[in-house]
Amino acid sequence: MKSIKFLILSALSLGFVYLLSNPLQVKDTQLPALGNFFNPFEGFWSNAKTKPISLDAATFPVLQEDVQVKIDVRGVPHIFAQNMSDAIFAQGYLTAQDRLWQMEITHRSASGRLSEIFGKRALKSDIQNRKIGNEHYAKKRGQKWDEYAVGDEKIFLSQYAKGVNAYIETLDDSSLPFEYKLFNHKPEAFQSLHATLIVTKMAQRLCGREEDLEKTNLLAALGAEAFDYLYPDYNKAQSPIVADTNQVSYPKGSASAEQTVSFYDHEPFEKPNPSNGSNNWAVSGDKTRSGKPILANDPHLGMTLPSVWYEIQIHTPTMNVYGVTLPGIPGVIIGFNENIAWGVTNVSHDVTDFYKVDWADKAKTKYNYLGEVKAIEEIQDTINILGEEPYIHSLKYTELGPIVYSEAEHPEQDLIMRWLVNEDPTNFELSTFIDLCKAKNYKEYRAALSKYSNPAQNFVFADNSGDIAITVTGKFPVKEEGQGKFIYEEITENNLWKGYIPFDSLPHAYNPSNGFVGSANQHSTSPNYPYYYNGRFDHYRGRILHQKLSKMDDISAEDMMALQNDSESLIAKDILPTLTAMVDEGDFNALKKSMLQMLRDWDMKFDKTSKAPILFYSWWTNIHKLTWDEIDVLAKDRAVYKPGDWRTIEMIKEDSSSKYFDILESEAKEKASDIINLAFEKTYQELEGRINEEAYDWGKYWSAQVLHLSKLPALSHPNIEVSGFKYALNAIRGSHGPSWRMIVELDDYPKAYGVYPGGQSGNPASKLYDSNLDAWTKGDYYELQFMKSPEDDRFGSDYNTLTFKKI
Amino acid sequence: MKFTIHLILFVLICLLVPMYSNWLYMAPLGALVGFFIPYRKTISSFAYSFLFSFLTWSGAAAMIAIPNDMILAERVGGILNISGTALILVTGLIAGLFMGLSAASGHSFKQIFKK
Repeated sequence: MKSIKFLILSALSLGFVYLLSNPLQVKDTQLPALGNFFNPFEGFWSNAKTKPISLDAATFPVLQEDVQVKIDVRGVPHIFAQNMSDAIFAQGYLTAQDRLWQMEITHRSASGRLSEIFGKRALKSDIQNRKIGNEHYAKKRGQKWDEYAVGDEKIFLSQYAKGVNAYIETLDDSSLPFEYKLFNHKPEAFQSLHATLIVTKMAQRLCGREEDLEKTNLLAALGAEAFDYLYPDYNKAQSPIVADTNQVSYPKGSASAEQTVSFYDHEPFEKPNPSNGSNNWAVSGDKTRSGKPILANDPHLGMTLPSVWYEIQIHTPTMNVYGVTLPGIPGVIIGFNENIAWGVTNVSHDVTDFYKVDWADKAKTKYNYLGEVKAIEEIQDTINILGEEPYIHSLKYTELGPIVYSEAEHPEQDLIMRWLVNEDPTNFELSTFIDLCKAKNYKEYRAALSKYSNPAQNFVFADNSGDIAITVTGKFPVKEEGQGKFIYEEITENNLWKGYIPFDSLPHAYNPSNGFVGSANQHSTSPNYPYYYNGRFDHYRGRILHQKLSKMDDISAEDMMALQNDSESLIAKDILPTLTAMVDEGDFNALKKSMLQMLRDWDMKFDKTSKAPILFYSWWTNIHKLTWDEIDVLAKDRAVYKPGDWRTIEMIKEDSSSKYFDILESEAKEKASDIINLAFEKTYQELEGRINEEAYDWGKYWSAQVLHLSKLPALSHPNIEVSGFKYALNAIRGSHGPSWRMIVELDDYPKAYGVYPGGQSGNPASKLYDSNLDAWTKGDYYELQFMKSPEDDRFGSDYNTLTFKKI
Repeated sequence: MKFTIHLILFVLICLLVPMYSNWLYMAPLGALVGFFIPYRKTISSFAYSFLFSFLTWSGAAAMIAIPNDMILAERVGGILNISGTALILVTGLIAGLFMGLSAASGHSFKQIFKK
């Protein structure tokens, strides 16, 4: 009996040991071993012992000189080094100290290695990222960068990686960042390739968006005339970034690109969020109170925790720069130095083309390419999946790019993707940012941009001599009219790119007479620009920015802050008066009448305390939905997409009897006015019970989210009530929005303000994890502590001082 | 007296082993203590071991969580749908059950040889 008791207790005890020391699988989520995780000395609790970073007696023989660092109360490191190499090493170390896990997840996401950590729920995205060959091309790009790098460029990525790895070496089971414990993995050594992959990831977000497959299906279903009517390239209400490009000439070829009529049944790859975009502008001294230019930039990206941006100052004898960069990429991407400031917005051109594979054999090992038979480069690729058998597939590459869609039974559906980012570079492409960090004037700004490739950006510029400028910057293929919109049935000389647009022919403006330059992802130019391009452009922010800046004078930094936080949108101005005029209010009840009145009284601002934006948004969404039932029918069979809001508005105003307003399911022949009334009724039904509730307002309806990269709500801020709208300058949409707001007043020494929705630390236990979020939510800014030297006490003396010692 | 010795030994084991070695080694040491501390009943060995370990680990967790203003405790608690305070108690519970069962095994092993 006693033996049995012992055996039972021992078995229970051993069972418990096993339970606590092994990862737990709950559905498709793997939990860490509970004993390891809860152990107060090594588990997650030890991450709560937050204390200021210290280097103690550590030495770093890789350094040429000691590096001094001041970390301010918001956790921003100010690095004072004697040369670029040492500065970048310290940047790598300090960034890793705050953001190591984020860096690893970002490069793993680009190369398709998330399944190793998150299991099969990450498999779909991994397969996509491998099929498009991110790592394959990043390796090639990295090799070319090594070949072309000169001077500081040579050490740029390697010193950063050394800094990251020096930090990794300090880690033990106890000091491992929190998420490594939560997701039960260990940090990988950081390589230059990882930085290259993070650049790829950014490019994917910003210039990886295309709808060629959907457009081709639409063209095949609707015909060219209807397609061009519903999906025109240009919005005549547009206010382009550079309206006057008359100085640019290019002899257009006679042949226009051929259009295909085949359907494609593939499920398109997951696309980057359509809300990835930005605003930037610079106003000249003629329009400012100080008489010096002011520059503003707010890139709209996923609002994540840890934050997408990392703030930093880097001071060396040849440069003093402050700004933000992406963890994993050295230097500063958006920022300012003692003389100039610069900011970026996305260009949004479509730089991806698809070509049908012309197979030369049944086994799909060879293909026809411009009259030659070429062999496919085929790689057996293994994706390791946590807790599962590996997924093995083959990756196939051609001269033009990877074969991204391939079906055994339907070889005629196989497609090659040519993405501009995968073209061989002709220089060390990150040198643009190194040069901008050091640039002193317009000439040096232009020289820095001439080396830039992708993702194409609108670089806005201002300097303390009074110059302002904007350049649509990047590598852009020369295309014939309409080229690249649809999938090509075959590869011919005529439908390949014809070189790249010369840098001097790219749209740019320098000290324009209206006293400002700016961009908000709208069309780069008016249609008279001789080079053809298409893409997915903003139709509202660029216009309102232009209107508002035109009227502003005596501008202060506070005015620029207010403009970045402006929640007014032209979509309401464009269509609401038409809607309220077309609505038939004859038999409206009291609530309907009051809803309509609310809209008529509305100031068109998407203010968080207002109710009218809810009514407008709901009404407009219902109008759009009811109008495009024809496209819903097509969507049942294959991938398509609906015409944009701006085109729908244009049609209501200019062609209200168009057949597309007819609802297919009904017997009557509806016009735009019928749709508008039906949509109002739907909105009434949706909102009648709520709209008069006191606590129900736009802030609750449209609530923003700042989500941890794992999307775990407990590590996120899932409900933030803010003013703004996707089509307002304060471009909030769910978990997307202004990921960094920066205002720089140029002067003999610049004064700058900034804020982002998060914090410097990636540690969820730290106060600095989300310490900037409140200020961001309120539309407040911090004065950025752009120090002149380590002894600079203009911002007080509350710094944590560190020294990276050589010996 | 035996309670005091048991308490001291368990606090030392639950603190020092995970601090300087693999926390799993707490189990054989717990069994050893269970073997030697002469409780009449195995349930008593389990109960006191549970209590002492529970207090040590939840105490250690609380000593970290409170200066951290419960920031991480609330966030990790949120992942598990419990409060930060409950998370501290769960930490104690894990140590309590782990060490309670170890000591009880040790104790019951000794019982085999008792007449």
